[in-house]
Amino acid sequence: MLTITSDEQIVKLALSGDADAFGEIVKRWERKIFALTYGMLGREEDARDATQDTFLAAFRNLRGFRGEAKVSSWLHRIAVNQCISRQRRIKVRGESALEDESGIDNVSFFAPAHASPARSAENNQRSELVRRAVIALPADLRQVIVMKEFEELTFHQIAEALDLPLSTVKSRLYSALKQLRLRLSKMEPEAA
Amino acid sequence: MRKDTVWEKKMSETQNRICGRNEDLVVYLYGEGDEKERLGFQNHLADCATCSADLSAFGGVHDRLVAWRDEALNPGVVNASRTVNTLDTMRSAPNRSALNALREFFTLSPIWLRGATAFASLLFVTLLIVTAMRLFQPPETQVAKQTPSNAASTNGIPTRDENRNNKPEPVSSSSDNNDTLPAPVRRPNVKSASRVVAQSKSNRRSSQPVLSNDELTTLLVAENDDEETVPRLYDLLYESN
Repeated sequence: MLTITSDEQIVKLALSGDADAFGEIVKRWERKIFALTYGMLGREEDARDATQDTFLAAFRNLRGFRGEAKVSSWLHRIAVNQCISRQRRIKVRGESALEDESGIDNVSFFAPAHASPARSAENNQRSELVRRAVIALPADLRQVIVMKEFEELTFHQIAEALDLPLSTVKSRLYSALKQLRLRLSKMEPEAA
Repeated sequence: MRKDTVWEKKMSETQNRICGRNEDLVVYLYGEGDEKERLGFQNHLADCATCSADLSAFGGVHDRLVAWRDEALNPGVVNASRTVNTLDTMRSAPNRSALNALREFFTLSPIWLRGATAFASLLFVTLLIVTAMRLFQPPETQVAKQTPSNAASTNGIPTRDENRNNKPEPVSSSSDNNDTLPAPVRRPNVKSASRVVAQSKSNRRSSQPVLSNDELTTLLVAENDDEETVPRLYDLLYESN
């Protein structure tokens, strides 16, 4: 296993029946995929579930992977689809508090379980505002900004993962930044 | 309400300030361009107030996004146990059943799509039932609906008109090589034909198998030993009626 460096090689190994091979893929990409799902969904629990569902779906459809795209792009596409369908389910169930933009007065601030008690309330508030602004973006803009800021992918990598022209990725990123600036200035005029 | 109006006005003002180098701006912001592109955009920034303002504002947004990311993606968030659990789940997870997939489809679909699907299903089932009823309808009902002539035809009994149109071809003798000659006029041998008909009827009464047309023809040929005297059996049968 140590001699294999390529994701594609690992997938081939998994297809040939190596039960542990896919675990290597999970270890390599879990953090990146979690970053993507967290940025898309904005809640830690949802992001955890979506990450797990992403790898489950990838594992089930392993035989459908033809090697035309990179494993990373394939995983990103699955993750984005998982996030979109999860958000639909949340909306159907009426749990759309994520996209509520009614102001910050009645916000129950998001504080992950791992957060240090010493972290200031001001930082929490600022993070919460950013989170809400990102969640309020349209899905096509959100996935681009999250891939850029959370996963630190290059424009080329984003274009490949989302199967979009390079110029579309750039223009969507510009639109996302512009909308974020306006939303943040609306929520907290002094912040932007 | 007043806040929204101010925000919309701000958005409108921003949209009005359009510079054609938006894509170059994000490339410059994230440092992905080469040296030539970077210097070219720096020169542009000196002349374009819109891009300068956007760059400054986007830089602030970028910093805040990074701060949120660093806080949210703390190393403790994703841990090894999660990976192990995921793998265990993957290995033990059963394949999603068709019922679950259908349930998910109905859960996620909008109301109009659910309604359309239900209507289409109902229509399909109705058509299926109607087709099945027509296929398995009892034959008596079908006969009752038909005219007598049609009924005779569909029950396998040829009508008189059909008999006239489907007259059997004359049995050519192997010794007769003159095929071009017109067919001779047949004269029915009434005596022999009556005997055959009587035999056929007696066979039917004694529940013996009824002779077919070919069998009867063969029998008549054998009896008369002369194909010219073979009668048109069906004509005789129906004329006697």
